[in-house]
Amino acid sequence: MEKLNVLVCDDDKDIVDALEIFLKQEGYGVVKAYNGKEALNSLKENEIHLVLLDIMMPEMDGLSATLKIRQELNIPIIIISAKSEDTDKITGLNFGADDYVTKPFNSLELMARVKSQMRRYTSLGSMERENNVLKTGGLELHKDTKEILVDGKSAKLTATEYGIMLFLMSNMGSVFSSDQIYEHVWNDLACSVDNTVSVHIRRIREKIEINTKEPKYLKVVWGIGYKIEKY
Amino acid sequence: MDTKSKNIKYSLTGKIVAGFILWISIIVGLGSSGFLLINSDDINTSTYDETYEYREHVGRLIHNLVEFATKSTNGGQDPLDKNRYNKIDYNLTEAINFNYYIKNLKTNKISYKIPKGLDPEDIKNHPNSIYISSREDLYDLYYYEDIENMLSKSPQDIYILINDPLVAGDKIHEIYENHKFVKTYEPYAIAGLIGSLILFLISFIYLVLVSGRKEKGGKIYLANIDNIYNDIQTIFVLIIAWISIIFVANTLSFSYNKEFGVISTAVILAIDAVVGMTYLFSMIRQFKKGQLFTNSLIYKTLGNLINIVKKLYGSLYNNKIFKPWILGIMVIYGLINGFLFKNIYHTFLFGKLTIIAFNGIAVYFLAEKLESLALIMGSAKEISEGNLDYKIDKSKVTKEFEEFAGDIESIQDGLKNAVDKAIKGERMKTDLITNVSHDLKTPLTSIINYVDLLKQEEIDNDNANNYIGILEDKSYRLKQLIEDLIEASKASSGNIIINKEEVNLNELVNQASGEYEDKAQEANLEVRISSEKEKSLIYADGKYMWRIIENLISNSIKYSMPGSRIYIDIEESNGYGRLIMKNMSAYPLDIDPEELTDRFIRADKSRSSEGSGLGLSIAESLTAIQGGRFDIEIDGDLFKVIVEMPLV
Repeated sequence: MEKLNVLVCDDDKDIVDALEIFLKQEGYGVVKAYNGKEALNSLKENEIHLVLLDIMMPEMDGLSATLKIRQELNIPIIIISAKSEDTDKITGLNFGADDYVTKPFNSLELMARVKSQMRRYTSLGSMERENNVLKTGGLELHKDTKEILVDGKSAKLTATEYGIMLFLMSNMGSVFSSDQIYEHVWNDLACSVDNTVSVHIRRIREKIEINTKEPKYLKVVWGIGYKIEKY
Repeated sequence: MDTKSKNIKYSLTGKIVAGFILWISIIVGLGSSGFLLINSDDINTSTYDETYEYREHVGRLIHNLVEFATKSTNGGQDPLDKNRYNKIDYNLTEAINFNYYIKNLKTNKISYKIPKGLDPEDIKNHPNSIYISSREDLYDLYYYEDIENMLSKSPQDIYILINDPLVAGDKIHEIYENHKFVKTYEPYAIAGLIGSLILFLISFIYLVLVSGRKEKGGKIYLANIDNIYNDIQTIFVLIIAWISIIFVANTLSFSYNKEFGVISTAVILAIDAVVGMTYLFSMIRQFKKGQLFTNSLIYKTLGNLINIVKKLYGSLYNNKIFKPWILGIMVIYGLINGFLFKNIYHTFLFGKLTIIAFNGIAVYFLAEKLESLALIMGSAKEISEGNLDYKIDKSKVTKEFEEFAGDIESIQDGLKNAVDKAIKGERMKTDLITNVSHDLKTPLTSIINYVDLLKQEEIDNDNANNYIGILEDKSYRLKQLIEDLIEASKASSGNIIINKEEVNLNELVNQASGEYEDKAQEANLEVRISSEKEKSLIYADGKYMWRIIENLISNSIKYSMPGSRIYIDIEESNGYGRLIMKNMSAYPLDIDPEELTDRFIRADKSRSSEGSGLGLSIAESLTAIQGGRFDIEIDGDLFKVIVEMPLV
């Protein structure tokens, strides 16, 4: 298999070096750049499959670079920034980034996100649609095998957890309260003051999400209920 | 010596003596001058027969005589009636010093009354006799015209002669005696008058100079009586004087006992003199003190009135806020209206129309001003409600209220500036914290990453591995601190966007407890949830409500006594949904509840454990931003947090 290359771009050399080590441990080739212009040049000179990009850099900042890259390439871009506001994240994603990780990041989480994006990018061909499969982003629910795949990897859910996922994924984007979920999945009358559902939801999240505190698929609508995000 | 004489001069005894002398001199003076005035008839004449009283009396007797002679004897042409005759007869008989000789020239009848031992014919030649019938002797007599008239009708030869010396027993003798008495005492009366006048002047001037003073040029001392208002004193004195005059006049004119009249008059005069002196010197003392006019009821009343008016004027017109002519216009309006109603109202339609037109115009102008005032009041209300951008429509404000509107506007501008400055300051602070945090995050990223890499190195050294573990813990703690710092500064400055919606407090608590179930179990804690209703819907931002509850639960898991329980109660009261969270602290909470929400304050013993100490502060700020209430109660080791949010 051809070696996958990651372009790492940050004005802090130590961070770039550390990322290089982590990425190489995962078996990726690494190309380094220290500002937006260098990143664009490296993209022209090398075959790059994924970009890790800081925002605040000299010469050319990460957002401008993202815009430039998106004019020509469809490769995944993950922004790594100290800017942690919701508005910063939304801006980054709107500029064409695929993911947004705030500094200081957890190396394991970042690698998980890199792998997730890489799988999605490299397995573009497997777009076959089946009736028995519910899909959102990299999350797939196979009804016939009663299996849930995250970016192609199987998540080991219990029967109840699978039931919750089946209910939520069948109504993707809709919010359900704990009581509603309980009534549908347990097929029983919900007794209000109970955290059974929320405990199950947290456990599911631990199995399917990269960062349980910032879930991508199974989201909490605080004070209202839960939903599966539709991508 | 000098001072001693001064002391005597200003001593009370000196004043009392002088006052007594003054009093006596007044009485003596009045008595003397009264004597001289009453007896002026005698004073002005040298002999008794020159007095008016004598001439009047003798004239009357002569008239009686002529009437008797001409009418009783002329044979019934003009007869005397019986009463008149008796009266005249009585008068002539009584007057024992009055002698006469009458000869009717028609009948030659002679009648006479002469002293004993004197021949009737001798009277004609007596050197003191007066021949009445000749005009020359007549004309200085009283009633001479009447006498002449009677004599022309019935010619008589009439002679009269007044006894010399006089015999006691009739009015002529009385007049003589009185004249003698007056002439005897006249020099004494004059001396008394002059003497008393001199004494009066001396004692009066002395008292005027010393009254109210205890030493020369010294302070003025007032007597008790001086405290009575001057006009009251004056009225009192006038009443006394009036009563005295009436009493004296009555006594003197109606009393049969002349002596009683004189004595009572003297007593009254003596009393009046005391009253008058007291009054006069009270006035003098007050004049010296400079309060002759100020210490009067009229002055005080007027003064108070003036003060009230001044105060009113001052409060209305000071600082030129109100123009005096506004009151003037009101008065003029009232006057014109009064004039119109009095003079024109009755004149048919024209008068009534004029009044209606005049008042209509007045009401129109008033309404215009009131509208301006209403505009300004409206803007003041808007400003007080927080609408600092409200603008007064200045074109609608009349000239009188332009300044007022301007003042309100400048208050508004000042307020706006202050608020803007405060907001700007808070924003700058938040920006500063955010920017500094960004700068901290970059090196922290390297630290965390290289600690990760260090962990991967297989180091065969337990100490080193232990140290790496500590580095990892602390670098993550630093990360948490930086994130909390940003959140706290944003929450307290209100620099966050809130999206309020219906939030089910029960669902929220269930979700939160689900999230923290494992951590609670790890800490050997049990979370017990109870609620009044199945569903308590509050109006809040779910995301920030979660941050509040997350902070509270993680806080109580961190600091609760292992093996104890955390209670979460959901209630509704007074339009608020309440979340009450109770736990037993593992450490003594010797701290003020308010301090707990102050940034970076934590119970001392727990300082070294995880957490930034910002959790409660963030929770409180986020609650306040969403319009809720946040309260902490500490009772021994029981820690209780109450969060209240408006119900839907």
